[in-house]
Amino acid sequence: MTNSLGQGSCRLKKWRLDPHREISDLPLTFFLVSQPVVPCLLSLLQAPFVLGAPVSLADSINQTYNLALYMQKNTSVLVQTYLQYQGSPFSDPGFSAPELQLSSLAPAAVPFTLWRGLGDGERLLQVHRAFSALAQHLQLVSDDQADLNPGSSVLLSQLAAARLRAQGLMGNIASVMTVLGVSIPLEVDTLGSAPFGASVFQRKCRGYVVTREYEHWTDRAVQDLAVLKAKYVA
Amino acid sequence: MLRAAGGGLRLGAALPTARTMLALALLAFGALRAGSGSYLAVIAPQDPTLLIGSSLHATCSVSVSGGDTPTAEGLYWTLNGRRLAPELSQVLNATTLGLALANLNGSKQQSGDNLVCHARDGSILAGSCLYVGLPPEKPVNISCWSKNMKDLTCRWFPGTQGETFLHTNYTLKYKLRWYGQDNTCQEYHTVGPYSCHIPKDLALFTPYEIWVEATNRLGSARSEVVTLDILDVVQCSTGQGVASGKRPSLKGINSPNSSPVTTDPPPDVHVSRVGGLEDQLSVHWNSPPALKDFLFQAKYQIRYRVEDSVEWKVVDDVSNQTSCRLAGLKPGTVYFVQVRCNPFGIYGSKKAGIWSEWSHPTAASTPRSERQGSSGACEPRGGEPSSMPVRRELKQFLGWLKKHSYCPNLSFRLYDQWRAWMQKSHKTRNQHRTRGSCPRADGARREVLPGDKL
Repeated sequence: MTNSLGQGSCRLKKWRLDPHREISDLPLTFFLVSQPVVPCLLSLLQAPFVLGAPVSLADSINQTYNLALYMQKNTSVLVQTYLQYQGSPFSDPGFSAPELQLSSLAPAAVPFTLWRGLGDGERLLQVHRAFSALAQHLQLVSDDQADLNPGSSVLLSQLAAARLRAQGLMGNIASVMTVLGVSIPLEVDTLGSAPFGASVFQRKCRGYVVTREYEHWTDRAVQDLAVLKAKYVA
Repeated sequence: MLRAAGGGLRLGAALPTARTMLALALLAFGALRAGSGSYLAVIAPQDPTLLIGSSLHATCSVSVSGGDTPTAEGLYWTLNGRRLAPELSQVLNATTLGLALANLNGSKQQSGDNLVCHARDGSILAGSCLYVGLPPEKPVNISCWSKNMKDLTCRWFPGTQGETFLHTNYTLKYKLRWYGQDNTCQEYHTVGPYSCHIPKDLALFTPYEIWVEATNRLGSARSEVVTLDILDVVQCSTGQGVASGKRPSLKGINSPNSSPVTTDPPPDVHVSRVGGLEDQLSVHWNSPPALKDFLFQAKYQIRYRVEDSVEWKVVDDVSNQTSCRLAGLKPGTVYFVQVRCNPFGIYGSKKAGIWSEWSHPTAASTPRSERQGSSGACEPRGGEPSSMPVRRELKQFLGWLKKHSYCPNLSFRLYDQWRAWMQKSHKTRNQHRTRGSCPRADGARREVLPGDKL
């Protein structure tokens, strides 16, 4: 039983995102990489919860930070793959529609001073809440895409992997919160009954917003954990 | 519908009730909002389905949100990312931009063409996905086969045009010919995109009617009905490693004009030389394991060719032996040999099933000599007795005979005389053993060698 990455039989591969690569190359590699990773992530998720073994704060923060770093490498690929499958204008290079937002997903963007001044508990709570919402939204997007693009096994598997990672990160953040003595909030249904009845175009937009926010929140999680790491890890 | 950031939701008066409800629902729980500008816009129609070549009239209606006056001025349309010519759109009233598209092409992607209404600054206000295509064609060329007389796998082709631009769903259905209800096949894509596998609950000795239905947003089509009895389409297989639902390794799946896909040929095909005989090769294989289970016999076919030729010679009447000797071959040549099987006599019927795929080519070479070969036929143990190695072998045999039998005067001359006699008579060439007229033998064979000298 081990708490830190890289030991034992479960080794995460370092996958570098090369911005000059063709979009068409990336999803396949991603898919190949993600397959062995997912069971690795699940074991990471379970590691802090082994009964009777006290987890040190430093180890917990380190593990969560490394996981977020690892996730960060793949998040923009997910957005690109998603956009590819929706057709123009989504699939046009450099597509960006910041005006599109979902009211059920809080944006990651926050004023810098405000963010810097967050307490540990509040900081972790916000990330935890965000990834909880993201996991639910990713499920919704998976269902939408299974309907709109039934042949897109690459996209569907990436969405499934992203959802599992979001849940994995939630679990790790929960372990940090436990050690710090912050109470973990109950799972909230952020979607409600909204999803039904959306038009095809709305569903396409919705998936774009979700994958984009997933990328932004992963970036933010890395920053948040870096702050905690600087504070608590020697 | 998109909602401006921070503003309340106010809908234009012309919107139908359903859309109002939808908008309210979206507002309450996760509506999509447009952050820039303060417009709420709606495109009609939403997600229409159209035939290729038809025309479309669409409208983009903006509504007020906050204090700004909404206007249709400055808005523009894009279809699949490309801005549409200004002459196609017209301002219908102060808050509505219209669009007239004619002669539409098939959808570029199965998720629909993206028709988007943009604000002056390029941001997305609203969108609608167009599904433009053709109704499906009748599926054709249904072919089915059974690997174990309990299941059935069928394959079809989507019809001549192929591309309908819309996602088309195929359903394979089957029923007993003379009564019963329609059943639907559940396991699709087992041997390619247009295939289905029925794993169980099939009756034997009775015909089934099988057909394929194709459906898409624009309509449906039904193939011709194929009638068959499971026993008619049983295929020779090794019975191993191909559980129902798994994909066997097959060739020719993706080419639409290829012959029906088949399964495993006879296992363990071995080709070897026959001693020193330079014009013969011996082929051995195993019978399919399913043979014993299902009371059928297998008949086999062998084909062979010279290494650098593309012409195959076929040996047809191998019946149900599991070995064959190829004769009349060229010495010192490499041959490729393949075997395939066909079950027949299932449960006593006289009908044949389906030929399996040819086995992997097995190569073997004949020993060197200068003799020429001719025909291809399975020969019983024996063959042409006039080549040097055969004479050598005979010599050895005669030597042995001399030693161990009581015919001291046997010689090669006897053998040549016998050969001459054999050519004259029309007996089969089975007899190698020169039964010479041994003085001490029965004497019953005296007539074999006319004019012999002892």
